[in-house]
Amino acid sequence: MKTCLVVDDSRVIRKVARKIIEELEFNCVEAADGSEALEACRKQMPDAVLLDWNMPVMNGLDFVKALRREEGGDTPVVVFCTTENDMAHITEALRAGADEYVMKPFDGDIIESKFQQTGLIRAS
Amino acid sequence: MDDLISEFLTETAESLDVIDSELVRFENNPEDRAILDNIFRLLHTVKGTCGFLGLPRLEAVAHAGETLLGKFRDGELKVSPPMVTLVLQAIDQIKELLESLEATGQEPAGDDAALISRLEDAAMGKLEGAEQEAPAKPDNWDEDLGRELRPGEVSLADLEAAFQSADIDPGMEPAAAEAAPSEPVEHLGVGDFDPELGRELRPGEVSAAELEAAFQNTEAEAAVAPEQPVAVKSDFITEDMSQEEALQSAMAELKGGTEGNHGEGGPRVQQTVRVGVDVLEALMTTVSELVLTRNQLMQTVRGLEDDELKGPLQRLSAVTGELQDGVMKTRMQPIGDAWRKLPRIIRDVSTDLGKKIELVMEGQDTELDRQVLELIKDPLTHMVRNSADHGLEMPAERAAAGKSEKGTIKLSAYHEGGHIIISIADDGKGLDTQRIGEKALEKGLTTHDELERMTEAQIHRFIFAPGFSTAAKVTNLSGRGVGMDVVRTNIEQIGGVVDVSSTAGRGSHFSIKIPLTLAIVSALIVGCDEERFAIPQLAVRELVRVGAGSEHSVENLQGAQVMRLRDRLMPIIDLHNVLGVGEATQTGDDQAAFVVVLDAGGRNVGLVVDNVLDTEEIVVKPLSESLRNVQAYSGATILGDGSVIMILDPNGLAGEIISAMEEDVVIEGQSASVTELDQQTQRLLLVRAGGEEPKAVPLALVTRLEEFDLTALENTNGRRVVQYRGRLMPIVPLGADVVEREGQRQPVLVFAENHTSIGLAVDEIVDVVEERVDLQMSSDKQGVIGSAIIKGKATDVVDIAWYLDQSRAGDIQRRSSSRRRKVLLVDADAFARRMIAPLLAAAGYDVTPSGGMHEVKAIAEAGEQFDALVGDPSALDRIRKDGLWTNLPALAVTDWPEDTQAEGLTMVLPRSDRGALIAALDEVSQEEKVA
Repeated sequence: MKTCLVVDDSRVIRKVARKIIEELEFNCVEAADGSEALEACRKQMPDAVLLDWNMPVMNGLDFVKALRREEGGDTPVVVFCTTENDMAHITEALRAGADEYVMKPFDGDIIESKFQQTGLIRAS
Repeated sequence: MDDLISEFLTETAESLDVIDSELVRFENNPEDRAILDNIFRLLHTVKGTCGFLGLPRLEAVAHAGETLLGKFRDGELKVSPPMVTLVLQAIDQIKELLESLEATGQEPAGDDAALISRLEDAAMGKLEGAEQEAPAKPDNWDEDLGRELRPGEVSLADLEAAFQSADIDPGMEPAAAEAAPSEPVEHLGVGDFDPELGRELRPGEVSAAELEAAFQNTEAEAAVAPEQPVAVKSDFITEDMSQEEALQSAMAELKGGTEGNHGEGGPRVQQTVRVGVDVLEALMTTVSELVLTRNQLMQTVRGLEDDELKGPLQRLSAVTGELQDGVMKTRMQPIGDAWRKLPRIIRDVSTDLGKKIELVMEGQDTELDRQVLELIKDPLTHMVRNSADHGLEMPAERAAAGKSEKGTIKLSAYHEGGHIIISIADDGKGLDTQRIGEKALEKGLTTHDELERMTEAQIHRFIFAPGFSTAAKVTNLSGRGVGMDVVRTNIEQIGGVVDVSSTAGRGSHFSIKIPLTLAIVSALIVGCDEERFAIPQLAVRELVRVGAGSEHSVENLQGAQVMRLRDRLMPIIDLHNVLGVGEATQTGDDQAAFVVVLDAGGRNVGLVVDNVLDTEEIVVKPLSESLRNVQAYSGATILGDGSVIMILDPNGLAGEIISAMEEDVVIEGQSASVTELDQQTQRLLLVRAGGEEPKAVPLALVTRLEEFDLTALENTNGRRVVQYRGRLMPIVPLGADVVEREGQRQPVLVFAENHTSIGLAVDEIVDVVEERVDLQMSSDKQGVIGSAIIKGKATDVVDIAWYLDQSRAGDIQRRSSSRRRKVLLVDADAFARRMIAPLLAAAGYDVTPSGGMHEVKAIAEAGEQFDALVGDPSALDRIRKDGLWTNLPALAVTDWPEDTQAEGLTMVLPRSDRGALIAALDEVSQEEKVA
């Protein structure tokens, strides 16, 4: 079973994401901010990261940059979630090493299609 | 989904609380980027979460607020108070929506278009009253950014230059994001239609076409990045495929690892665990139990010489102590939690009233029991609001007084002993002593004389008196009918003390002292009839020794026990009576006892106990369900020696006074009927009025005892009168020899009847006695019924009715009777019996009181004969129907003579007119004899 790390400072969103992720038959790990997420990655590199942008302590952008510098940090597929209407953010995230982006609010279908696009799961 | 909603509500409420206080902080420090980022992020999260839960109204408001905040963040707008007010309004609206979401489970109907459009206008810089003029451009103005450069920032132009010259690693360019507005992306407002999605764009959404464009653009740019994302992706896929089996086999390990991740991956989340309050309460109870058992063990072992046991016990003791501390800590919360809403409140006050206020908070981390915290939250808020509203002056006023325009309210908290001290100080105008004094007079809380003798501090304390409010003008913020008295009551309920000190022109300072916890209290252990009881120390004002060799004694006043303490009468409760054990302590006799002066809701109440034993820290245990309605107890505890004792509740005991008095009356009525045919005892007031010999007046007839200054006595129409309670009251000397002595106060017995009062002047009030009145000699002297032996002395029993008639100048000649006539008094109301029986006895009748039909029947069976029946109509009616004493006149006495059927009754008389009753009785019993 593959593992997906959900990084978001909102418990509610983590809960929603966990449900979606587990329906896609992923093992779900949660982190409340970038630095927690980084620690989680150092313990066990996930296959996918569903990453929020705006978080306390370490934001999503800093996390991606840090992750990509970690050993084995280039393997996880980082799907970046945002509500930001500012295109610059998305551009910047992609530049920083995110593989995909989704707009919040996302649902099961959106995540599934993104995971398919990035090859995490096979198209059904 | 319900689960999610409730989670959302908790999370969002927390966020909003933080936003509230952070915004106020931000307003004061508009340059603090970290605060703004925090606010922005929190609001952003709220918005983001709304999307998931399908809450469009909330989302739209949050989005509009966020947009405005975004403008601050990007430096496009300058932060101004009206702007912050607007954002706070948005926060309030969100709170309101959340409330109804919580209540109904769904968003309320309607929309917030007005608010949103105002927010949007503000975001466009169109806020009315907002500062529009562009600030003068300082040296480090950056044309590209359209704002001033922040410390440590470089201008875009510099950046470009750096780009050109350096090997570009986009990941290392934090400033690039800020430079990125050069991206060709248009801002889309709410309601834009996106053809690809087939629906309107949600707030904050960007159309797919634009995103794609940006994506392409980025990928092109990103190609310069060292790691090619496309290549990585394809590698990843194949790698991933091949790894799948290995991953499968390592599943167990992975799972374990994942769980480990889960545990440690979120250290910040895991540091706090949400635990139900009931779990903590249960834990506390268990630990208390353990502490008590430990104490018991310690006490048992103390007497033994068993070293083998002592070691482990010592350890057990230490560990138990630590455990107790630990559990206490779980109940502790920083007081800052109760203060969180204050900055916002202060801000609102200052904007509403146009005052400049700075709120300084110190010692937010001071911890106290969460139960206590909950209870002081509201009083604290009220007091801070009061300080802001009434304490601090308007800026102009302050400036005129030579103070800085900005007023300061300083909140601080610290530990002291087992207490936490919270102080609320302002540098405002201080309390208006004169105004408070006037108000206290107006409310009848004090007199002019008293007021003159009071110190300022004493006068200031009137603000805590019930129903006191000095706000001349009821503002929006205070004067809602909740005054400082409520604050005081709330604080005292948890065993706290509140005090105020104030200096005119310099400000006022409130200090609150509250116990850290309510679970363990210091108690006074008292003994009563072999039993021990605990009284919370906080409620104990003082201890007074009464009885043998003490200047204090418990006295009996009209059936109520009282004690004179420093010239004040204090009601006394005898614990024996309350509990129904042992003999009640006798009045001021040889037996010594203690009176514990308790503070029961602000009043002093004395509690008579046999012994005062010890003070001890006790663990309060709640009472079991079956004992909970016993008012006298507030709980139970276990002492070190293992015995269970009850904790007395001062307020509950004070309530007992009333019921104890009622009981007393009933018991007396009964005892009178048991000793039925003997003359029952009477309470008599002994006075000296002309001559040395005492005179006796049935106490039940006396309405009040007063003392008047001789100067207050006036002459009118040849009579002595005094102004009493807004009316003229005639003063008649009790016997011709009563002298008015210059310079002394004249004791007067006040009798009230039919709305008129009469005062009988006497020389001295001697005593109150309870004796049976056996008139030995009848008297022909006017105003004297006869003589009896009272306290071993021949005493004239005063004929009050005669004096009453005298004073009314209605001189009804009364016949003195040669024969004592017998009257059966029937009234279910013990009080009524007490009122009528002495009156009849004083008029020369033998009265047999009875409370109900069974007593009446018993009396009838004993073959008793009477001259007349007196009583309440229904009881007399029953007697008539039962065929008892049918030949006797029956006089009904009732409060409602008009409504009473006179059928079968000789006469119906108003209860209030005692003279008429005597007259009627004289008449009918005489007629009866004649006939």
